[in-house]
Amino acid sequence: MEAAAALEHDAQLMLRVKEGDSISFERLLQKYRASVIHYLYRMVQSQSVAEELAQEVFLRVYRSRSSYEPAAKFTTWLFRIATHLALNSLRDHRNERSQESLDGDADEWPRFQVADNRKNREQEMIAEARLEEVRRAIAELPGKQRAAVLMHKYQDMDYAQIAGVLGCSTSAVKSLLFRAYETLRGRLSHLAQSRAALL
Amino acid sequence: MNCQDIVSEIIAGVGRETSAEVKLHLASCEACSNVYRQQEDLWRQMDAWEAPEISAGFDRRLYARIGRRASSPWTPLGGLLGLAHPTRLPFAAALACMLLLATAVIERDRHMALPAEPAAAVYPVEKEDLKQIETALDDIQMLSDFEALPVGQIRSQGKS
Repeated sequence: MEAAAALEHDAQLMLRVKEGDSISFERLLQKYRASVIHYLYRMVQSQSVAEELAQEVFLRVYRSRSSYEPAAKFTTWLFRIATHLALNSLRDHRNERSQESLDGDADEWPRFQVADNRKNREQEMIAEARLEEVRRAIAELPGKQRAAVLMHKYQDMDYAQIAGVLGCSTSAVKSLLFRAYETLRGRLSHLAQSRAALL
Repeated sequence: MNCQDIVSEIIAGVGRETSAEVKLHLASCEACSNVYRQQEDLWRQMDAWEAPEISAGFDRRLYARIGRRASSPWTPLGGLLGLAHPTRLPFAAALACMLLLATAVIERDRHMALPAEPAAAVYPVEKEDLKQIETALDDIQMLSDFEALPVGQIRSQGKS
């Protein structure tokens, strides 16, 4: 019920943008700016590239306002644009990105937030190393699997929504996620073991 | 449900409370129980991956780009389509009239086979140039009348 209301509200905002209401565009930007940038950041694993792509996403939304029809959920449309741009960017800069990733551009990675002050430096380093492994394992997934996992885990999207974004069936999404998580569990199983040993 | 269905259920739940059926299966299936533990652990690892702060100038850059797009030179087709907007209809009508007038002047000039001075008829057609166009038409009319007279008559008129 709440989701349906949100859908209606977003679609209404976009229809107002279509009529030339810039305030409604600003509201949509405020509402989805962070989730789009964070999703793109995890897709391309670069803050600057993610922000550049997010600019293009919202620019495309604005440019397409005159042809907008609320046929699909607004977020599905938004993340379809974002995913399309991210996959294109990954395809175009595959070699470049892998090199950057191997170089470990420190400025691009978020610092691991240490919630517990009692953690010592060694634990911080271990946590950072584990996080780095998670990022790498996700980066090594094929594009669509990566997009599906990120939308599922971080954007809290269900199979139907992910299917709408990726333009495939819900059973295909189920299969994509099944394989992607199986790969991730396999690649990162040693982390669970080392964690258990530490505890 | 078989083991694959159970794993799919676990994944679909994204760390939420599992159903009674799944719980029952996990209690009796070591393989699925292991997958469940690994999957929960994977999600915990993934939770630690925080996205960085968004740059302060993100919105400013976006609006600047939108502004640049809006003020970019319009294409001839886009310009013509833009004239269909209700607020621009009077301007469009005036422009159409001026274009028709200019076409009529050019055609008239061509048919009268005047000495080659087409520039006189192809004035830039602007709203405020309407008087100039009328003057030019009068001049052309006068010139054509002048041409129609026999040469001898002109000379005699000139002498008198």
